[in-house]
Amino acid sequence: MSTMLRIQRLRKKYGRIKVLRGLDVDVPAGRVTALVGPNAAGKTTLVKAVLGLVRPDGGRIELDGVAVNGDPTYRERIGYMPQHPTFPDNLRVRELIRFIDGLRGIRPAADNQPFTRRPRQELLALFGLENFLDKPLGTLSGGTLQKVNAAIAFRYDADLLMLDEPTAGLDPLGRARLKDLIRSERDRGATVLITSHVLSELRDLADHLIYLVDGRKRFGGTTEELLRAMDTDDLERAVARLMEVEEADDRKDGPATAVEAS
Amino acid sequence: MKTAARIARYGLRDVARGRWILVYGVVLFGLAQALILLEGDVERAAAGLVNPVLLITPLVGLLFGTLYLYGARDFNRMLLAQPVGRSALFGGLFAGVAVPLLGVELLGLGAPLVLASLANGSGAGILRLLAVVGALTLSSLALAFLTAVTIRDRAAGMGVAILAWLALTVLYDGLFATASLMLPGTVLETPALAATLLNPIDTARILLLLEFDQAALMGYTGAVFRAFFGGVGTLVAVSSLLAWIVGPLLLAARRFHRADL
Repeated sequence: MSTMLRIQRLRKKYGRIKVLRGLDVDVPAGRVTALVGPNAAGKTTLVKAVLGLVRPDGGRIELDGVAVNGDPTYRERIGYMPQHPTFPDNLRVRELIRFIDGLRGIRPAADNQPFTRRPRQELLALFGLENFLDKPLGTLSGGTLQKVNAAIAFRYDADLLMLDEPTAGLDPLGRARLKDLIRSERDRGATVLITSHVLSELRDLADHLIYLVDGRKRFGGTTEELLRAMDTDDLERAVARLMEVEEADDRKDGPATAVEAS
Repeated sequence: MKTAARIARYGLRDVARGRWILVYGVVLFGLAQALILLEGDVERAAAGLVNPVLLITPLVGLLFGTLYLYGARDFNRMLLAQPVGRSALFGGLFAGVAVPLLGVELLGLGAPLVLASLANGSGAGILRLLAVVGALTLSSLALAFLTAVTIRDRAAGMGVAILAWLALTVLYDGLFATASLMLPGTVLETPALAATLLNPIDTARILLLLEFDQAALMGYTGAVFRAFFGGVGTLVAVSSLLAWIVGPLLLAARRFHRADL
């Protein structure tokens, strides 16, 4: 199985607080991988480092075998869905989408220019956004903004989708459609990395799971491997047991042991 | 460059549709129109605008610049998740705020003054007033951006922006007056010149009052400036004002380039 995203010895500290401590992570291509861990485990910092939003103190990030080195063009291959989308209040939904299209070098169809990549216009209908296209973003509810967020992240047929708590704030229909979309993206061959605390939702989506604690990986493998290692058929319980192992290690004051995938 | 222009265009659209910018334009227009009516002469109205405008425009630039950049922080993360470089984003953000702000100042102050001067046939100093106000706006926006990229906490950043304005206006004038009173007979020319060049608002004031030839309003530093530099004074003051735009802007861009967002 090939690797879409390879993180090697990634280090980052904010002031004196070490957030990533020589993190090694492989995200397999064409799979849905869940990135989980307790608060302050380093999940958000890892995602931000991949996107170039934080500057790592050391280590290496490779996207599909190519090192990320400061040139922003690699982000053409990434679709990102932040947890709490904040958009300019006075822009309309249609303008925002055109704006992002433009940043990705996609011209509106009216220009009669060939598309470099055809955006997925049908997602606006899928998320019921057609009636909101001419509304200012500042007037939309949190759930509708999250749908705009999703429609943008999935719009460009990205090779790597990075989704931070993607279902937060969505109604049941929106949640169901988003989950279907994630599955169809995986079937298309895209790699999906989801950061979420809602493990029950990850259960029927994630093929792989990476568990971080204190800026280090404590588990990386398929969800089946984790379930087997934790002797349960419930993903939430398996992750809870991982956390218990971690707590026991902390109490012993010894070095924490990584749970090996078989 | 193309990406920066695109970001600036959408920033401009967002800012221009905000209510505050309309209010700012109306206030400037009302102020200019009121002085034209009161003075009955465009040149005198423009000279009368110098002091209020030198207080208002840096305050608006500092407050709006910091608020804008703090407000855009989350959206900036989303923009940087696209194939967009940080320099293009920074340039686009700055232009996206600066262009509507300069536009509204040009319309609010410039339109009534230019119209009145066309009717009266005078008003040579209007162009300099608008140019200096524009430079001061760019300088305060650059300082605002530097503040917002240096201080992560929004409340602290806003506090620093307000303190900077107070320091450059009220405190500065107060310190100067106190120094003159406490050190009677002392030669203060060199410190006065240095202090002026270190304060973009004072530099702008000198530039404008030299133009309008209002010796009574020039104050101590203005008199010193004229005596020392004569015709070169304007060049020195313009260079200082430009340095107050470019310096903070380059520092802010450098910090933005390295910052964790």
